[in-house]
Amino acid sequence: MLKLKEFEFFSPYTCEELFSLIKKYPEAKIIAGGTDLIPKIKRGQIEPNYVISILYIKEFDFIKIEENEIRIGALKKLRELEKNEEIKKIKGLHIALKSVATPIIRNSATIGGNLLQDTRCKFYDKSKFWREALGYCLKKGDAECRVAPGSNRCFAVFCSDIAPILIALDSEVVLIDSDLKEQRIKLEEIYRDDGINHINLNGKILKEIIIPREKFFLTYKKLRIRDTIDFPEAGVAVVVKKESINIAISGISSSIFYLKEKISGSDFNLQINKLIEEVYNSIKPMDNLYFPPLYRKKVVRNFLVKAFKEFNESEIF
Amino acid sequence: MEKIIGKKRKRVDAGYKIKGTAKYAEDFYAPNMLYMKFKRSPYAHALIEEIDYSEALKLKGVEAVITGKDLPVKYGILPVTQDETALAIDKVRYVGEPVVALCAETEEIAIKAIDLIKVKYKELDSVLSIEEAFEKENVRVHESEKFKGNAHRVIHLEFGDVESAFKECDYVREDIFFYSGNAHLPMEPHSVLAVPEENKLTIYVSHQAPYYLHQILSKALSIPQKNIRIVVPYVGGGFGGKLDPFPEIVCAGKLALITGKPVKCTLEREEVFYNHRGRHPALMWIKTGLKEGRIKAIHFKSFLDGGAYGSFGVACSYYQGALQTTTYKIPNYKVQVVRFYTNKPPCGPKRGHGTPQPRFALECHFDKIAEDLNLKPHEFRLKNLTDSNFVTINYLKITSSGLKECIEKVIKESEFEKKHGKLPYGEGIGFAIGAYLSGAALPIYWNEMPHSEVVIKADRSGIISVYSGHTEIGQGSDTMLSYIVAEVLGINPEDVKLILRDTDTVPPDLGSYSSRVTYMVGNAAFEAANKLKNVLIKTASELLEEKEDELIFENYKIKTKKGDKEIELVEVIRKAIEREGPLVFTGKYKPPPILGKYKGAGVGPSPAYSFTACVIQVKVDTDTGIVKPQKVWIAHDIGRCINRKNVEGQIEGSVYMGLCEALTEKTEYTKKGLLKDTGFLDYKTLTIKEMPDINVYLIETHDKGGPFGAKEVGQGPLLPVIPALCNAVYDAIGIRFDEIPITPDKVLDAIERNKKRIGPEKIIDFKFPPPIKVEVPENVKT
Repeated sequence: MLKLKEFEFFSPYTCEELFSLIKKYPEAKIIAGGTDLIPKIKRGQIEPNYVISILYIKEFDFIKIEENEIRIGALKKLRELEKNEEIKKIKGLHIALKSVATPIIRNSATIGGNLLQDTRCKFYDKSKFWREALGYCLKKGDAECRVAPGSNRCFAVFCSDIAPILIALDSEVVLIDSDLKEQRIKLEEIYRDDGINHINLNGKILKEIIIPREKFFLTYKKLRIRDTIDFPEAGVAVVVKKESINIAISGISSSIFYLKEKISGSDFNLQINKLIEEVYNSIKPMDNLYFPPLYRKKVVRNFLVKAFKEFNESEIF
Repeated sequence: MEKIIGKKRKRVDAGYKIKGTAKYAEDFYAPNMLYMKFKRSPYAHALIEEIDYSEALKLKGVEAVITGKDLPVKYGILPVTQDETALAIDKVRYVGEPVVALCAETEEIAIKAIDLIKVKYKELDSVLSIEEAFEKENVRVHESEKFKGNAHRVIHLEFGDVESAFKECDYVREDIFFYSGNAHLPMEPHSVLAVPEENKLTIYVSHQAPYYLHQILSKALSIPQKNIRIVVPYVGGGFGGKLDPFPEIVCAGKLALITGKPVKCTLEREEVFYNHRGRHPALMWIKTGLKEGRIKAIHFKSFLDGGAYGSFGVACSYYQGALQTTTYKIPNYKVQVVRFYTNKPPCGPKRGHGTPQPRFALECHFDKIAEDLNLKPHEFRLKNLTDSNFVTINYLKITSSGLKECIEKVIKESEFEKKHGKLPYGEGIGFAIGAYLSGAALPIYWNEMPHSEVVIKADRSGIISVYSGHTEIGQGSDTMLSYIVAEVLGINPEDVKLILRDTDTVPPDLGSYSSRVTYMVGNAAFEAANKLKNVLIKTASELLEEKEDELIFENYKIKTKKGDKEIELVEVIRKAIEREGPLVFTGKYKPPPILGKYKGAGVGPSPAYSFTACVIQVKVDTDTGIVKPQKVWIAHDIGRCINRKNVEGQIEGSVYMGLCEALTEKTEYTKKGLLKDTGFLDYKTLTIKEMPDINVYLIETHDKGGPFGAKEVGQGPLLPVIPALCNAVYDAIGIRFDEIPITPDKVLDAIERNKKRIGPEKIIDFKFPPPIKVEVPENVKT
């Protein structure tokens, strides 16, 4: 059996308690559902001495449907979200939610956790024995990057299914700091294209996700070899609003690749074709997931073509 | 007619398994138990210069540490390949090979202690493929006197005269194929608990063949068999992956003897991949010559990537060429096989045991031939089929055969002729056939003893007990045994008391391999049950004053056929005990002698063969290249179905495994010999969401030698699935995939680049010794 290393575990009930623990143990790992963190501790990828659970902080677990926006607490379980009637109406989001892992995992996994998950790499998500035999890597073990030897940055991949959808929908997040002050920013601002430091929260806690309610076309296409359990090897979210086209893609870089353009008004299909080519040329997946990088690029292109075909057929605008 | 045989009833172990009360090896605990862990090699090929475990021994709770020198005796599952030790001695031959074993009070302490062991290696150059093993002759995985380089086993057999035959052909075709290696993936990992007692070492282990293990452990541990007892509980899946004498079994035994305490070891999933003994990667070449659509000659070459040790490899090597002749009449046949050693976890027996690779090559090759000849795939097969009661050119005796009916059934039910070549681009339908043994005719250790022994006992309380050493690895063997005994004696299968698989108390069965259990254990049980029945019927006939042939066993009673007289079974039993003494009878089974006398003739013969035909319909997603099976039609000549639900489940499981091997599974290694995919998330297999509808058809040919006419179903249905899938992909997108798995990236790339074929371009130029020429059997001479 893979065994967890020993650590001290705390379970605060309030934000105040939480921040006082964070101040006392700055290297502590935060845990919610644990579906990302626990396997990594078992494999020795993350070796915390202190773990702080936020599962019991009630202020983070809610869903509010308002006139102009949907507000979801970071602790909302994915499975609860996928069963929510309002969420079900946002078809692309519902598809993305249902595509994450398996129903059993989604019973524990939270939306905040999905948005803040660790980056992944086939040289990193392995047992300690394997990584030791390999010689470790840049992300863990202070050695050379195994995917891009000689590189001074890590290329581990960000594989959230929910992030690209929310970014394409122009969603915002609410962060809360140790003084309990709240800050509202665009979701894409918390991501950084670096495999090791891909999350930029500046010591704050992710409290809430806000999705604007408006008219839009949304589709999510996920590349993986089977129809369950796997992470996206390319997760393509396409949103068309009245005046803009948003494309966001996970699984091909250390953050979320996104491109947002105003609809030019003249030839829509010409603009789309140019956009697809631009995306194809810009994305640079590395050979550190399951499928080869060039294949993932090609599928992204095929997914985009299909997404816009579906948009044209939907006649939503 | 029969009350139980052939009906849809639940398995006798269903309740225990669903409720979680079924015991598996990991469920065994003992007081003062220690936990064992391995220190494994990080190198594919290296000399062991120094092992320092002094720091580990200092850790509180660590009881004992052993290295290769503590277990110096070489052993192996096959008598001809005794090339393994439990722990590496002098050098390591694959990444993951166990080098040190230690035991401690808790698993956590054992894990910590392993980290404190320091091993100094001198890295050597390694060979990681068939080509490398062949070309780098001076990089020797083993030092074998017989052959240069890394060839472990070389086979060259010729039946008839292929070169002359090819000259007479009006059509000749050759093709090259590659079949990737893959793993068994039993849900239950390997697990063992070794308990030392006065004069007895008891091993509780998840294993498929306890009686072979018994012999080998005695050798490896250097203690007599009478001082070792092997007990096997339920096994959570084997598929051939639990047949070998694994390092953890030997080491747990050794540590138990050293410490005097029970030692437990359950492998992590990654360690199961290092134990391996999975599918051999095979590079194959086949050439077929026809005259007027009839096969005149086949020449077949196969190069196997065997991994670091022999395991069952020699048998797998012979199986590469053995069973092609069971489905097709081949009047001239040449087989050349080389198994290479490489610096990877050893390959061994996986469901099909060396026959899926050649069957894939043969059926895809024949699909191409049919197309060349403008024949439908099944038309070409039907022109060349073997018959029932037929002796093949390599001396295999086919008894019953429903192959033709299987083919006709699936072709009809799938509406194959309406669809083949006629579906829209991206959709396709493919066909293939296969055949498999119902048990190998020769045991691994050659002797004349029975292959299965069963004891049956009826006691004065009316309980019918059956003692049998066979293993239940999920295939339903306990149920098969219970059904047969219950049918003979007119009772419920659930009431058959089973005393099982314990080398101390229960007579031996050779094990769950080569699909032998239903045929051999079933026959032994049938014989034993009938001996008991005969004594009871004699007693009942006297008590009821009726002729013996007027009586039947039904519902715990013996009654007249007319229904006018009856007596409780338990009463008859008691009376019989009064008159005859204890009612204990034995049954046994030994296959008939093999027909062939040439070297290698021992691999292939079986008392009966099963036959399968399969049609698969697919849809290719042209955005992603993902091949999606839509529907499967599969007909299997099972002889006689004993438990309908179970048999259908076995066939569906075979379809599942075949689709995985064809579409997703591959054991791949980095340039340094590290296994790329070490767990279920990385090593891709299909899930329930990808599984198509499966239509199962059972063809019952009532084999004269099988129990109630039954033949095998555990491995045969797997064989045609892989080639049928590949042939369907060709029908869908016009691209021949002569290598598997057919992964989405390969498909998309092939479509975009307008390729007609994806596959290996060449085989290796191995110089074979002259062939062993075998005189063809009389009936084939004409």
